Amino acid sequence: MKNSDKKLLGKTGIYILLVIVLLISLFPIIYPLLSSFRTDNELFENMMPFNWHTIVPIDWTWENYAAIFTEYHFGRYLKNTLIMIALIIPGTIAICSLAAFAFSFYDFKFKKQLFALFLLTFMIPGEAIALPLYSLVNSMGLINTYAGLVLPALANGLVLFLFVQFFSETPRALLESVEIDGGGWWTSFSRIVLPLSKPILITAGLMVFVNQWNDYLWPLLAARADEVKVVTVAVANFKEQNVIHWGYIYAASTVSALIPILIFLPFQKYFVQGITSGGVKG
Amino acid sequence: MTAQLKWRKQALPYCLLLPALGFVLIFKIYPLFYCFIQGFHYKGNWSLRTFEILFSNKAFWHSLWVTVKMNIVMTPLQIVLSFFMALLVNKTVKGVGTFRSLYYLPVTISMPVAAICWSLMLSVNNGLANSFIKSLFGMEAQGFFTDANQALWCIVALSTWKGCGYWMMFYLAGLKGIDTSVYEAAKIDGANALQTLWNITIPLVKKTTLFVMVADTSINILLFAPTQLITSGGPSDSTNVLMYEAYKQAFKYGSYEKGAATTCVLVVLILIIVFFQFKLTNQEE
Amino acid sequence: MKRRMIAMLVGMSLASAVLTGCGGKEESQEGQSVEGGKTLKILTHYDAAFAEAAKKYEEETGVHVEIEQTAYENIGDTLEVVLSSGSDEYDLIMADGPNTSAYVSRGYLEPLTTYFTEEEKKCFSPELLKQGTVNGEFYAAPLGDSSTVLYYNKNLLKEAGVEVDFSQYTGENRITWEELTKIAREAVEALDPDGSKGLYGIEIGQVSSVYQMNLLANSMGGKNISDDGKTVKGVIDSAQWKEAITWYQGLVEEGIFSRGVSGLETYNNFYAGKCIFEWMTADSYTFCLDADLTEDDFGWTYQPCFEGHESEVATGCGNWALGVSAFSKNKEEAGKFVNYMTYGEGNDIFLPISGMGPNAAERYSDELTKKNPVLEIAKYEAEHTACVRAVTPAFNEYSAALSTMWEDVRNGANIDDALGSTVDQIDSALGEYNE
Repeated sequence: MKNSDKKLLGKTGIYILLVIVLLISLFPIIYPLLSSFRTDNELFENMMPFNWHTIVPIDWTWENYAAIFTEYHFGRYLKNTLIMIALIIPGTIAICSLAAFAFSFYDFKFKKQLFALFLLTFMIPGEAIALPLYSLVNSMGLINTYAGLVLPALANGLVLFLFVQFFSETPRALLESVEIDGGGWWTSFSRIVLPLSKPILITAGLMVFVNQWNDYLWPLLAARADEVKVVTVAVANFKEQNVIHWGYIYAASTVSALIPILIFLPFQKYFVQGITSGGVKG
Repeated sequence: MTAQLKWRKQALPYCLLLPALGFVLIFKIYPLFYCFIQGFHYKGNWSLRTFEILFSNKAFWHSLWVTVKMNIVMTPLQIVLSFFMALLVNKTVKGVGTFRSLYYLPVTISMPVAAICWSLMLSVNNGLANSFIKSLFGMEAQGFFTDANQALWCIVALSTWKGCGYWMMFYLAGLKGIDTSVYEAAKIDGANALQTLWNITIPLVKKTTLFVMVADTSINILLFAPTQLITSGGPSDSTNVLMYEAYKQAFKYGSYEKGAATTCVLVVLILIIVFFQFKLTNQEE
Repeated sequence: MKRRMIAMLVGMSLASAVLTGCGGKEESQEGQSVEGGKTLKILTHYDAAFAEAAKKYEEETGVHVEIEQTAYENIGDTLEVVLSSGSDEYDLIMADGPNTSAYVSRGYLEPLTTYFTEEEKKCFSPELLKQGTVNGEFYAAPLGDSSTVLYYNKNLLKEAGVEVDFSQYTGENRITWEELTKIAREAVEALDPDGSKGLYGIEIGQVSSVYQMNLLANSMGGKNISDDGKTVKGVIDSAQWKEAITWYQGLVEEGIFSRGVSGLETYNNFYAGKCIFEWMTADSYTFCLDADLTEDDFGWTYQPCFEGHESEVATGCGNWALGVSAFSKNKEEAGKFVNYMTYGEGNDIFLPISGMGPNAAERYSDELTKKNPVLEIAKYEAEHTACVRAVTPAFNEYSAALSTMWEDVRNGANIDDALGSTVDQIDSALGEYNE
């Protein structure tokens, strides 16, 4: 076999593998996507025996989408979710990057212990501490406010960890030169460290975004009022005591999956770059 | 340097840490601490009775076993799969970036939504999967989430489907960090693909593996959303993971002390496992 | 050290002040819209029905009721968290009927004694009153009732060539389960002999919940819990229960009853013509209409009884109830509103919107039965055959264990084993409350 043939074969093999994995990854998404364009009765009628229309709608309809946005005000919850995320991302980044800056460029007492403490936080089950956390946030009067949603999520061990890994690649000598020039820590941070950190900022932002987008229990407890209710909680509204609006659920799922996708795709290049330089590498 | 300046310099890192530390202490450590204290209470008084009740309960040990069983399979499975997915999307073929992003999509689907979709697809009566195997292969309908022997593995499949894309990204980053000259050297030495993988790639992404292992373990041990949303712990308690038991105690039965005690056991369990993972990977060096 | 602490607190409070700024404003504006009068707050999934009744109430009394909507499946968990923290957020507690006892034992509910006269209480259907009463004290007033009814798909029966005259059946003379399964068997045989269409004979609406499943055992004469409420030993593992479970398991094996994950799918199967009979609740009528079925497509009859147990037939009852939070600062106003919503005219507004069955015999008005003719059966059942769920503070534990039992036997588990472990589980939970 010629070398170029071998290469071609290898490439074809890779594409076949890529497509197989793709089908497995996407099928559970495509199915709800297609189901969101049909009525519940049509979905259940065509379930058995298996045929083309078990998966693909007969009469395509926007009915479900119309219903969730008009009857159920899904747009409002979408807006709330985006506001929450718009508050959390910069907040988390600011807080975690400052702390990571301290961990990376300064030596101080209890540094190791404090770092361990932060790492511990991402092993704490949110659901397990939900009850005491609720009492606490309630006593602060923050239930049903964005603050109640956002504040407990700001200190994120994983994001901090990524920042520390990333910053540790920046040579300390650069910072020392700033100090010799008479600049303070803020100059070092804002002029040297941050400009170098674009990939990690995007990575951290996307990570926070996905985590928050998927969070369920805390928003359910802390943000019940319509003014702050988020989409993951609102989706449950389509499951009523005696009836499930499957089509609505599928439509809402499609919408709530579409937004992270739209946001993720343009940034995916940086995402990988961010983690790569974030030093979790070999 | 004046004393004041020195003090300022010493205080600076603490000041930078302050916001993060404050949030962690208030919103994470304090509730956890409170949880531990509750665990050591019985009917409002300090006591070990709650643990006594817990440990004498057969259901607790069963849940612990289910949790361990699920994790022994799920965590390695996710690590291996995400590693291979990363290898695949690390290939330099045209359009690979798109595949990479598409593989990440399941991560962005929220768990409640994913659970609903999977439970309908795998429904016994008229689910898509059963419709498919019955009509096309003439096989008998499978129980999936209603079969005590299958339910846990269906949850493993669902969680793996949802989780692999996430860990793949970390592995991909690890792979990208490997200097390509190492591979070229191996090629010159006449190493085949498998040897290169085993002797070079895997050892070089060890740090990533450790990170993924630790993070994935702690997430998986606490995973209970699919159980809560699809099976409610059944059938025959086969999916009743410990975290779900804790959740039920606290949210359904109003016995916070028991829920808190169960959580304590979980946190300790995670710490032990993570400790050993660190030990294991350090030893090899 | 002290200085750092202070700095930390200042930083924290600044951060929260900035962030609350966005959320807080809307709230305060809302608070102001109430002129002078007090505001009561409730968490409910019947938001539309409450809103309508509350509007009228505000016009009459000046008391504003703020309604917070949540999904039905989240009510219990959310209330547990809110109430266990002692929060006064909700003045009114909407509890699923059987949870009343548990809420009372945890100190969440305030007695309603002063807000209801004896005559007013007596108007409620007796089983509902029983459910809202703990240790002789009245805690939760029923918003409505529910009842179990058998629905059938007319088209499928016609197609199968099976003719049944359902008009012959009355409350005293019902179709028996034995007859029904025979009909179902014949029809499935005719319509889907090889099982390729996925057609089922009979589906059960709430296929895992004690609300509906226990009725099978109850209809054989089995009870739900011992009379003193302290044990289920000798009760749910009695001969009657075993007979009922054996009967059910056999029919699942045969394929007459389906194995389902959740009851909610079985509803869709009925709407989509995938099962011939479905044993649902009275309000399912509305959902059938919502799913574009008409009375030409489906009909209904009394819940079947078992042969030889005709007089013991037990039908479902109970629904959501309303109580006053023990932590409320406006107990007086809340208590009055509970009276208005359950006994008073608020209930007349609430019922048609919520679709619940009435909580008292005299409330079955022509207007309601015209809207939902199935309520005529519900009325009969409420007076004659209704069987309340177990009244115990450990109801959640009880219900979880028994649901698992029903699921397990449906999936083929050994009946004696399943019952044995369920009895152990429930009795250990009951034991803790009795301690």
